[in-house]
Amino acid sequence: MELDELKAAWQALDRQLQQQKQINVQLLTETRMRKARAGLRWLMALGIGQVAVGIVVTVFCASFWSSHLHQPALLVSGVALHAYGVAMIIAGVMEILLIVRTDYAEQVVTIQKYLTLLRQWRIRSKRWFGLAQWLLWVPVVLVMLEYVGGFDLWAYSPATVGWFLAVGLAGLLASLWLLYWSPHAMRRRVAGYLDDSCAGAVLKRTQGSLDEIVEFERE
Amino acid sequence: MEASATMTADDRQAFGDLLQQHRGIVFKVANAYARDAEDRADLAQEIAAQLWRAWPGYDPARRFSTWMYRIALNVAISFLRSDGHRRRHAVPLDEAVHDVADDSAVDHEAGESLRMLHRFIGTLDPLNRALLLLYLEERSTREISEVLGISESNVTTKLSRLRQRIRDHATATGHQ
Repeated sequence: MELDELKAAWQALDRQLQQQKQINVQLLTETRMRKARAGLRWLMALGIGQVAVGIVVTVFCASFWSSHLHQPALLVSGVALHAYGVAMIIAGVMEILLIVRTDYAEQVVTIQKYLTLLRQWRIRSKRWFGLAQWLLWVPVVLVMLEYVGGFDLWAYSPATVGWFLAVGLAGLLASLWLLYWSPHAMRRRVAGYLDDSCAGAVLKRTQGSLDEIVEFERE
Repeated sequence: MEASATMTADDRQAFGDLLQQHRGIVFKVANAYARDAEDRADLAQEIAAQLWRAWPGYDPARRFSTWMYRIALNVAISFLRSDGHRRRHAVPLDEAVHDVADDSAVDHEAGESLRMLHRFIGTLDPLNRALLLLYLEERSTREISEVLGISESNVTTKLSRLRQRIRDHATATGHQ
């Protein structure tokens, strides 16, 4: 069997496809197109929402820490949350760019490499956003108590804040262990539970895809 | 984002006509990259939606089929690489082969070759799958290189490697 001989079989498929008029009609139905476009709009809305929340967090935290320059715990908390807000904006803008700038009419190798790199970036950023929350809830509590009730928890009971941080750190270490250092079978279950979105395995596969594209480019 | 939403009725008509004329490309790409009927319909729909989205940027000075292949293959490769479909693709290809080849329009011998071809396609990575598909569609080396974004000499080299692989596959599966 030669490659050229298979063209005959491929042409037979062509004839067969010409007869599948039913699917053709379905494909060209405007409502189906609209449904697909609605999916993209939803993703876009999520990205815009993330940027909006990031801006609110950034503005609020900037004014908060600048008015608490002499209270170290509140200053550090405000700055940490400010940084998180900026990271949210950057990640949100990247998501929007991904949707708007993805031009599928580009050459296959170019666009696939671009998409794979962006996908890698999204997986990494999502994972680090999730992990950071184990510790960031502590500054959120400190800032909110001060902002809402004028109560500086650190000044009143630093040990409580220390316990909060210890709990967060323990959670962070447990998550890192589950994601990276636990036995393979357990890691797979965790990855399944997290819908693969935070698992190292996904990142590894994405890297594999990128290697595959680079290899394909080479003669 | 949605320049396609502001297209005139004439634009829509022109797009519809061209899509209808070249619809075979959509279905053949969908057949090469998706296994079951549900996936194929999803992929064909996604390709059509992306074509519609990209249509305002289409340059009429360039070949419509080349533009269409780029979009269809990019969408199909992304579809194949997405996790959900990757998991589904862990199952054998036979179901799809029967879906495609069990039809009175295809005689027994061609049907057998088609099954063999689909099994072979199933063994290829997404980029080589695109290369084979373009070759089977009798696209020139130049057009293949334009669609994929690799040099013409690279296309020639890869096609000769594919020829060898298909010979090996035919020998291994008793289709000599």
